[in-house]
Amino acid sequence: MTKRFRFTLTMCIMIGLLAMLSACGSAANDSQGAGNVADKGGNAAQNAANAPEDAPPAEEPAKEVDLTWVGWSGSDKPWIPIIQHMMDTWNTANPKEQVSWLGWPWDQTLQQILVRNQSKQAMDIGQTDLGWLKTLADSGALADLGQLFDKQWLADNFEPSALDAGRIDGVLYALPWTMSATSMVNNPTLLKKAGITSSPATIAEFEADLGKLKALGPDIVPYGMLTKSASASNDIQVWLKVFGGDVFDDAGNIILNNAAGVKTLDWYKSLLAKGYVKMDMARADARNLYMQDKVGFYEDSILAKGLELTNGVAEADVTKHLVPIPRPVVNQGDKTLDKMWGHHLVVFNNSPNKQQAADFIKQIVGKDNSLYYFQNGGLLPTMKSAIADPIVQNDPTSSKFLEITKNSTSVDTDAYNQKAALDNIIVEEFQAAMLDKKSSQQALDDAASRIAAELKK
Amino acid sequence: MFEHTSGFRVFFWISLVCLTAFLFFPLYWMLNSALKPASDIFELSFIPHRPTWDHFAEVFRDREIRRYFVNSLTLSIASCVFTTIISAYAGYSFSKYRYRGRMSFMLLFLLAKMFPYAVLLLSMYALMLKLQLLDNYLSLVLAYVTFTLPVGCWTLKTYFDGIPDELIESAKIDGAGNARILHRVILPLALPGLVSVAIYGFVWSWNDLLYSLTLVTSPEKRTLAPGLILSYLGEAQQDWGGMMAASIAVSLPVTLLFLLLQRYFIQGLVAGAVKG
Amino acid sequence: MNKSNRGLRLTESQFGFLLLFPALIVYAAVLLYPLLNSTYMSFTDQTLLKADRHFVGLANFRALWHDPNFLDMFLHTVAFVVGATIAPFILGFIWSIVLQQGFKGSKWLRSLTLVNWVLPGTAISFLWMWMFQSNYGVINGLLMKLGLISENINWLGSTNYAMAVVILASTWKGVPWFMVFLFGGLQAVPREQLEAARMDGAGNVTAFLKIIYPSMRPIIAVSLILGAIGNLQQFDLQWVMTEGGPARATTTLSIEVYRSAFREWDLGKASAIGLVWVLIMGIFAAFYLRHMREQLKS
Repeated sequence: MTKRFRFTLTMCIMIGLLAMLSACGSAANDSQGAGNVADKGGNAAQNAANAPEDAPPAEEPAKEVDLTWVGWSGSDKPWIPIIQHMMDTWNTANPKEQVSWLGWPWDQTLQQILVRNQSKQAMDIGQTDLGWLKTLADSGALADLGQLFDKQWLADNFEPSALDAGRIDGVLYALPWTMSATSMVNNPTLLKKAGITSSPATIAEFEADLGKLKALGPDIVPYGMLTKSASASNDIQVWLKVFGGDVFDDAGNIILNNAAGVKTLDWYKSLLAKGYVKMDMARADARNLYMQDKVGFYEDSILAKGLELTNGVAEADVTKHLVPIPRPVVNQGDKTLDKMWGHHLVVFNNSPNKQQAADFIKQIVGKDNSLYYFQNGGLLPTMKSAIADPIVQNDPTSSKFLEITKNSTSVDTDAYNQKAALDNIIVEEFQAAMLDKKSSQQALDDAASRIAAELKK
Repeated sequence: MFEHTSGFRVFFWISLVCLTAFLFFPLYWMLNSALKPASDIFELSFIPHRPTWDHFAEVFRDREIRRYFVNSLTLSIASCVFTTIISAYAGYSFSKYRYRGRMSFMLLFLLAKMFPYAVLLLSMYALMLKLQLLDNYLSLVLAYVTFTLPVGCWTLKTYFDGIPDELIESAKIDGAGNARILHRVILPLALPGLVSVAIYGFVWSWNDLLYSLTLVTSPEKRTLAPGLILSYLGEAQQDWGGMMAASIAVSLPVTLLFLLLQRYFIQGLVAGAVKG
Repeated sequence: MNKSNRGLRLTESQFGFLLLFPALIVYAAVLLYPLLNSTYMSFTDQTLLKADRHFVGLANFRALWHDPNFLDMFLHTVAFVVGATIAPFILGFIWSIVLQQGFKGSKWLRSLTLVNWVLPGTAISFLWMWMFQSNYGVINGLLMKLGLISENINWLGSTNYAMAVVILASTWKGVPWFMVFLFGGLQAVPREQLEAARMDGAGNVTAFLKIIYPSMRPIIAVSLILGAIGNLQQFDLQWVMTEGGPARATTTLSIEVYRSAFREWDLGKASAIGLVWVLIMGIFAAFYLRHMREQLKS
């Protein structure tokens, strides 16, 4: 009896301590003030930390609105000073609407945004990837920009296609910050060695070129085709389109496993069998090998140019080492296709200061900032006036990318909020067929049924 | 412990050579890569042609890395101390006391260790948000302590099991209370175990990526694991040499710390043996 | 605690329970809610994309059961966990015996071994990915130089080798862990018994089997169980090196959980997989512990 009583007593003390612990936790935090993001204390601390470098602290006026900008570029080493400069410019001009940065690594950003959104934590401005739009829109995280921006201003300043890339079901959720295509790029230095003088227009020519590159030696990977990680799915889907196939038809039925799909996968397999491509090739590997002149062709966005520059290639020499070309087609004269690539700017639904966030975005995509971004980071602007600027137009690599971007499309999986899951299924089944675990038809049938199961959820 | 017969010598030398190669060649390769200039980084030379300390110099100049290092060190020491103390008590309790629910608590601890961290993180994020502990190291320390506790108290339990009950009985006859026995007699004897657990607790929080990335929300509180990724692995750019140099640079001081700790714990062992 | 002990005059078992107290508090405060919530999640259709969730009964478990890849995934998990636990255990044991000889520089070697463990996990993954890279990796380079292979092997791009490479990398990272615990265990082997056995003319092997191994058995069992549980949880290494590929060859349960939760936003599925593995591991661990206890008693 007494034993049981004492046991109950200890349990009661335990629960009491527990309550105290949590109370202490919040109390400690309140008094500390700088601790949590809900009141953006952390950002205040950051601003304070930055203040001595950027501006004399005495001048710092009382803040009225704190805006948090989330994304990855502001934490990505080459871009940090650029983004910081853009924010500083704004913060100096708008002392009552201070913007601060919260960043994660690129491949963790979407999940971090979703986790925060689900916990209803306030974020204001976001940098997002083109491919995340549907997922983010379906999560309810994004605000309707149509209500925050003047329609006329939008129409005057952006190409309709650029705005369309930010629309889901007619609602404008995102403004383009930078846009380009993930296009085929080739390496003239290596191509010259193999005796290739013109860029391939058709797949037959492309394969002939790959053969010549292969003859240069066993070290050479003629085509750095992506064969690893779910992002390979984007390239796969563009090739599917080139061969007349697709993942879904216009009515949304799965047609991945039709004859054109099998033809595409068979082509993938034949490239592997001839040694033109290799397994375990992620974009980073392709880039590394390309830099060493061991890859003749691969697919990349405008980021490739910045990469060349930071790897010690002189601005004037970039064209000797990196030339974007339209993707080869089946028959001469077919329309060329490439995957649209870009970064968006969005306003979050949970933001208490949507209008200020929109104003900030307006300034970031504006001509001054986007030309600054282009000149220092190499990323293409999206505003008509900035694109038309001679600084952009006279840059040979960038203007080629701009040209190719005009023919770029989104891929089918972009239209689903389970994009990542679908992409993963497609890549896994392609890998299975390429590694001879399944026939092409079997792999695509499996992919189709897995996609169907995923969409039924 | 082993007689140095010829058979043992053969075993000893083969193991020493093979394991040294296996354990230290990758480390050497890491250092080798860190010493190559960016343009040579993919070369297969075993000694860098043009060795450069640039990567290391850059790491030491980098204020961010220094801050990540200090943050991680603080956090890891805090969670290592908490883990060791709490698991020492719990392990001792499991080992030498019998009460209702003891076995189920032991299994419960293990159970918690088994549930996927990635899933727990989502609920924990919501919880920490409610408690207003986000962006507060307390939340990370608490999380790390719960994840390292099972290993801590289970290992220490086995250590305490090895300490004969007679020792406790005789101390009791000398008039020592329970707490005194634990602190003065038992814990010094279990010092090797405590050090193992402390190192384990330290390394766990030192290496954690997922939790610190998610629960820390301000740049100045970022810890090392996410910090290194942020610094060296960008959307397009990957600075391999820098990454390797930074990894070595941050790991060596910690290893040195362990070395000192080990010396201390061997002294403790000797002292314990003399007393015993 | 000291004072309250005297004041309350606790009985023996209550003092024992009091010692458990801090651990319980931390558990209750930090883990209770996430654990219960996650368990409940496995019976719902919760995703990261919407705020509400609906109870769906066993649907998530049924979907797992019907998933054609589940068996494969399970076998990969077993292969990874067994391989990545046993290999570093054996190597760690041998290494701690070697270091225990106390030759000149052994202390330094022991500390240096810990470097493997302290290195940031991402760096380790990249290091190994790099060494096994087929075009510019040092392993292919070495094998070529030695004339063992005539053309580069695509280690991580092949379903045959990828898992072995991942296990190898995990082993390298895991040796220090086992070494730390086993070295401590070796130190605690009772010297008197060992001396006595030596007097009776026992050789190294007999001494190991009769004295050293039995006295270390508890620590061996615990380190194996905890090592296996740790490996079951491990996903960062495989994720960075292979993303579970090629063709799912390295997709273990932990990879699938991570992918379900953070790439496919399906928290219901992720928790369901988690619960299944907790059950499997729990049964396994309970049996193993009971077995151990009975052996100890006899």
